[in-house]
Amino acid sequence: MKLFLKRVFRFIILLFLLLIIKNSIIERNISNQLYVSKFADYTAKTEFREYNSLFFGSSRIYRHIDSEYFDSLNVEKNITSYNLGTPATFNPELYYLYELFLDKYERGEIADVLSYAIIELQTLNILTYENAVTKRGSYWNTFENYLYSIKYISTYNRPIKLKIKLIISYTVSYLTGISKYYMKLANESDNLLIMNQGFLSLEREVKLIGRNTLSQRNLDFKENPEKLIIRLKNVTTESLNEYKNGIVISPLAKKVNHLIQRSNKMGIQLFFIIPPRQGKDTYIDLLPLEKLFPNNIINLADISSYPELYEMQNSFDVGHLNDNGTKFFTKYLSDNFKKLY
Amino acid sequence: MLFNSLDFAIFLPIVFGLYWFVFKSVKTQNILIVIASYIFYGWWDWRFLSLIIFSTLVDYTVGLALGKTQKLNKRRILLFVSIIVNLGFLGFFKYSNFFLENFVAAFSVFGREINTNSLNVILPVGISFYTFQTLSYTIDTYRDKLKPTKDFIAFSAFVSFFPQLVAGPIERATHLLPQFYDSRKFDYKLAIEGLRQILWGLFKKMVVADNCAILANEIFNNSSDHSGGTLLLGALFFTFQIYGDFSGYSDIAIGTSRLFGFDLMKNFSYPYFSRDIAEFWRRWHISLSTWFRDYLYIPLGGSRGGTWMKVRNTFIIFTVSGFWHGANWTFIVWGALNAIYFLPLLLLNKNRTNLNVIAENKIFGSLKEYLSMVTTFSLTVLAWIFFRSESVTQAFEILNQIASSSLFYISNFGSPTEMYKAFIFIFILLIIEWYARTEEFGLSRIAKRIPSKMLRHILYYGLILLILWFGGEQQEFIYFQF
Repeated sequence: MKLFLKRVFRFIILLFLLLIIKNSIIERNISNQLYVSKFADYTAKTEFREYNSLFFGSSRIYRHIDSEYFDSLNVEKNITSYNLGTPATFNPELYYLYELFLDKYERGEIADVLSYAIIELQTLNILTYENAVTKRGSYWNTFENYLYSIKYISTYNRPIKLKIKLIISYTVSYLTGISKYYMKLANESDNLLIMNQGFLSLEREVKLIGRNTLSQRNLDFKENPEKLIIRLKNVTTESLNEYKNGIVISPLAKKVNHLIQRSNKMGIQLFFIIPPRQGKDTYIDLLPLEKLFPNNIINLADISSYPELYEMQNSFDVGHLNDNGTKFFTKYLSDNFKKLY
Repeated sequence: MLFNSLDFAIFLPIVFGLYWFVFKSVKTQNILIVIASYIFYGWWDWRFLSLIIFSTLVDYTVGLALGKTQKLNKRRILLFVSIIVNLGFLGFFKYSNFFLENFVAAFSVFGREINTNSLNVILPVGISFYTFQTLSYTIDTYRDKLKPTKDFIAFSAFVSFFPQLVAGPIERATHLLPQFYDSRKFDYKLAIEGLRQILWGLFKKMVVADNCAILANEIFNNSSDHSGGTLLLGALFFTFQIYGDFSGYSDIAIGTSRLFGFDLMKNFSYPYFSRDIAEFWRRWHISLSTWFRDYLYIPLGGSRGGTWMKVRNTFIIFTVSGFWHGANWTFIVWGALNAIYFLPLLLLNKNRTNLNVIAENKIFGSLKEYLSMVTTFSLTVLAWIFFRSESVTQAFEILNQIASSSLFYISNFGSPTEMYKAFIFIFILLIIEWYARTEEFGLSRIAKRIPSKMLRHILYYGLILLILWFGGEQQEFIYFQF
């Protein structure tokens, strides 16, 4: 038995080493079809146009920042922007993608000269075990990101059961990450409609495509909007009061700092946005950072300063704004942006 | 729990560790096997555990009662009870909707409309397998081939043994049950052989079957859009999908059992290298074919009677075997078609011509052998069209298209990369299996004949990397649905 266990153990260790070597030689391809398609659209457009400002993030960025409108609000600064936000992009994937973008920029593979990047500030994703074994749930999980995730989990204030679950999920995701082979994805997507300058509101998409899961979300929301909006407002108000001076999640703070420093070195001014309409579990991690990075964080979650972002008439669903709401979002972002640049 | 899942990758070492290091007596090891098997099965749906437990209780009790009486009438009643309970479960869960729908359809032929609603019945995973396994116990006890067991734990472990619980091999009580009585000693060679077989099974399932599945599904699900050439390719991909899937599962099951010191029967023996259909059926799903032979074909008279008896029995065994696979006319037609393939050999007394291995003691076979092999393979591919199709009508439409001039035209399907990938994996499978065709499984000969440990390990690592990098998306084993 001892010999058996010894040999099996040795075999597994050698396999692990082989995979580590493979990972250090072969670069992983991005397994986020939506981002790949969007990035392809962006690079195709830069052939005849320059963008000096970019937006990165999940649907909270993609569906809320109207780049054309943003440009019109910042004509004096000659801002031309593209929205690279893609649905369901999460922390750490989002920051991994941003760094890959910076790598390309550094190597001169991106035609534009960038001045500003605006990225969503996110809490660590509650990665499920089912997602951890997929390519999408693992391609970004380098050793560095794995350590970051584990440190993050051990630092933050969550029930121990959830922490254990997350440690397992992130470990599985890391192991999946090093053991899978990531094929290069085609620059196309069946379910992402890419409009000019990368922005498309949920309301507009429903109008263009018709009835789909998005419109269902809108209908579900409309069934009982008042109750949902009231709860959202309460959660936000409580969170703002409770967490502004809360405990800083140091791995997240370090990550934010690292991204700011790296961007600055490349001549890019980086701003983080805290989007509105999120839960307490998100605000508890994000709000304490505002004090640490006052010149780089734009907090649009503040309900007293931006009440329109919580109004029923500006809502598409619980988490997202409609066309009217996106105008407010973009306008407020622009106002803050002007104060900071 | 699927063999090709992370759940199983965690489950197996835990059970292995407990089995050899904590539970050292036969009794406690058997208890552990029962608990582990119930967890394994309950992972899918714990509610259906009650069926296994009930079957176990009934057959254990029937077995004990058979041991206490020699009165033929009483023994017959006891056997009847076991058959009714086991086949009753199988019939209800698997065939009730089929019979209901066909009953309604039959009445509509005579102009009578009957309004019924289909029953919302979930098919419990592996019911066809463990039902047949536990039936073998009562039938063999009835026939006095086996002494009924008094050890309830050993019997429960026999019925629910997790490596082969949901997709076989369907073990005989005479072979497997006694293994639960004996004390088990860890056997290094057996365990290493087991790991090799698991590796080979995973390659067949995750690399060959799952990659072929993508293409076969694409083609069969849109069969009306494709040319004859593409449909034939689809049938070819399905041919390797079902082989990789099912024989891969059997390899993993047998390999896993070896880790626990058990020996399961061989279920596949390189069937696509067969030179006639009779040989194919001696090599494909051996545990089921021999089950039907022993418990149905021989009691019906086998091939002893006159020509009519031979024809009748052959059709019965093949169509019942087809029906065992699923409640659909496609499976029955598939079975009947194989009977048609088989009958000429039986009637000409040539069904036992090819008892040895193709190209025995040679590297390559003769032209005649290859021609026979290709002919048998082609017949098998055509039969799989019925097996894979949603309906008999669809199968005939596909065959019609294949028989048309569009056979020489390949319509667009999937991506060319996917197709080339699948062909490369099929090629690797065939090369390794051809080399190993006299052995237990694909990697046995490599382990025995390649003296360099380094070369062997390079091959093992190569297979693991293929599994990790090119293993298709985790898919359920096809035979789970049976």
